[in-house]
Amino acid sequence: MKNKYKIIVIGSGPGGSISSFRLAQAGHEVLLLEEGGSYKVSDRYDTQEMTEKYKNSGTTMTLGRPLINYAEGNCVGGGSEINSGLYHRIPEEILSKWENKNNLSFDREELYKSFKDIEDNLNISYMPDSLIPRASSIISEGCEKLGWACSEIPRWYSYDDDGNGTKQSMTETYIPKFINFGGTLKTHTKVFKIEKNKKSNIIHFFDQDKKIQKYFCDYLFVACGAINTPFLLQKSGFKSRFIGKGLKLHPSFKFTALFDEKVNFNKMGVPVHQVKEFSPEISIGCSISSKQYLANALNDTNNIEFLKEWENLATYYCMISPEGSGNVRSLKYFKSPFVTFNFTKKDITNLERGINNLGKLLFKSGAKTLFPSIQEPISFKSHEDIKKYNFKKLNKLNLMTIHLFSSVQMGGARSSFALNPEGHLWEDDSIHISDGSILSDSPSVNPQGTIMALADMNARKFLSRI
Amino acid sequence: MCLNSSFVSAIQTLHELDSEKKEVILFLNNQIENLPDYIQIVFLFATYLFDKIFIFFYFKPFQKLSLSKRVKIIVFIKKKKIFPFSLIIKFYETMIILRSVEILNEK
Repeated sequence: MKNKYKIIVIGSGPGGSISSFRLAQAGHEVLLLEEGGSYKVSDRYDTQEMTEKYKNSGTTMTLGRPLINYAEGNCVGGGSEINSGLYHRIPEEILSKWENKNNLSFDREELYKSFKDIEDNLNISYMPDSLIPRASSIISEGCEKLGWACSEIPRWYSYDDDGNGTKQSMTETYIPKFINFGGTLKTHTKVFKIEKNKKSNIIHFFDQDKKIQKYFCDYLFVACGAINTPFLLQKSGFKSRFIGKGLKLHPSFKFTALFDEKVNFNKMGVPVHQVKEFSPEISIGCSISSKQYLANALNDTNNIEFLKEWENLATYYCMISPEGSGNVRSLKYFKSPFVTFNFTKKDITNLERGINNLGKLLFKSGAKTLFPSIQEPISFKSHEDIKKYNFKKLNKLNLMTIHLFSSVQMGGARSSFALNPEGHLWEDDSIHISDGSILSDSPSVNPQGTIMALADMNARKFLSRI
Repeated sequence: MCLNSSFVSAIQTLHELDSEKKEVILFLNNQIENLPDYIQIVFLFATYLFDKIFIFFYFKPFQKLSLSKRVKIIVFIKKKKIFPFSLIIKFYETMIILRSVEILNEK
């Protein structure tokens, strides 16, 4: 077995894939390691996907008050294989805030060059009008009545002449290109430790047969996601106290809405409208509303009997960009990262505001009853009912997220951040981080585009340096 | 009958979900096996306690109780929110409903 490579990338999610592609394109010998397996792209959002493609089969959660369920990809393509494919560039005002907060200066020309390249490769496009589900357009009409800003969000999708869409995830785009440039992809490879000797980085991993093996490389790119990147670095003994600190995520609260008309159908997929009236603090939109998810949402409030009206039901979320933060820790004797997250008072106020506005919008859009993601037998018949309810009792709320970031941040000062502005560890310039961990804070929108653009820009800076 | 299987039949009965039990148990076993290790330890310990505690009331563990009794116990714990058993029931319900409804929808 060949065990020495110039560059090894750990993790094939959006950050790892684009970095691997860029490095292989420049003619370097690159090995891309992935813990999970390789599966065909799909957007079924079913239990088979959960068991095959999700980290811990989707059973992960942050500890704190309340618990927040989170999902991460654990397959070739990582998060891009399981997310909804909604694309955003980071808003300029947020980027400027990041620069102030972390003492950074992003080269706009280089950054937007990366965004443009990503948009071309992922075929960022709008859903054909005929395919937009009623569950989506109905909130656009509600916003019109309220005078709120609402827009259709483009996605990384390509459509054939018959209107069949294929998600342009990493397995459809950057990974095949990486392999075409001579890159090597190795799946079912669980890296558990990074070590250094005088000459190279040593990567310890379990192979497919659970045997311990080693790879050696000159340069290492770690892209295991915002939870597992800091966890791997901590387990490997990297000293910076900023590794695993400052974790951010987008907690989401959901209402399942019952309408008088049909809004849902089998395999509806992802609705595409988002309400931007309360950005950047609060975002509102429609979630996956397949029958099995509706059943669970209704069961939270003991209302599962409404499932027979599933074609008139859809689930909607409000998502906040919190001020609070969390930590990722590795505990002795345990193999899983220990993740905590805490809200601030402002976050609780924003969450309550988001829930109120989501309720107001859904009733204005024609909803007759709302079933909240709260663990008690309750439903709301009017916006007034929602206003009377105390949503500040956080431990009753069922919150979830698929957006996690900022656990190994880039920053201009070695004394305050784990990474330098080019994305390598301050303590070791041969180890780069290329995933959501490097973000300075919440991007306030779906983060994949921003993660990829920063990873790409950092990979190009690395190429100009070596 | 194992504990997982006893939960599946009780929760399917409670929610009138008439789907293939074997498939649901397979999914449930996989989900428990894949829990993060520190959560798994607590979960397995709490479910063991949950199973055995009924020996004091009915001289049988939960998994050996009749179906109707198991359903009644689940409804009672959900209603009274008895910690930590309400959390265990929440986990079982979520996984069992998810897979059962999916199987029914595939038919």
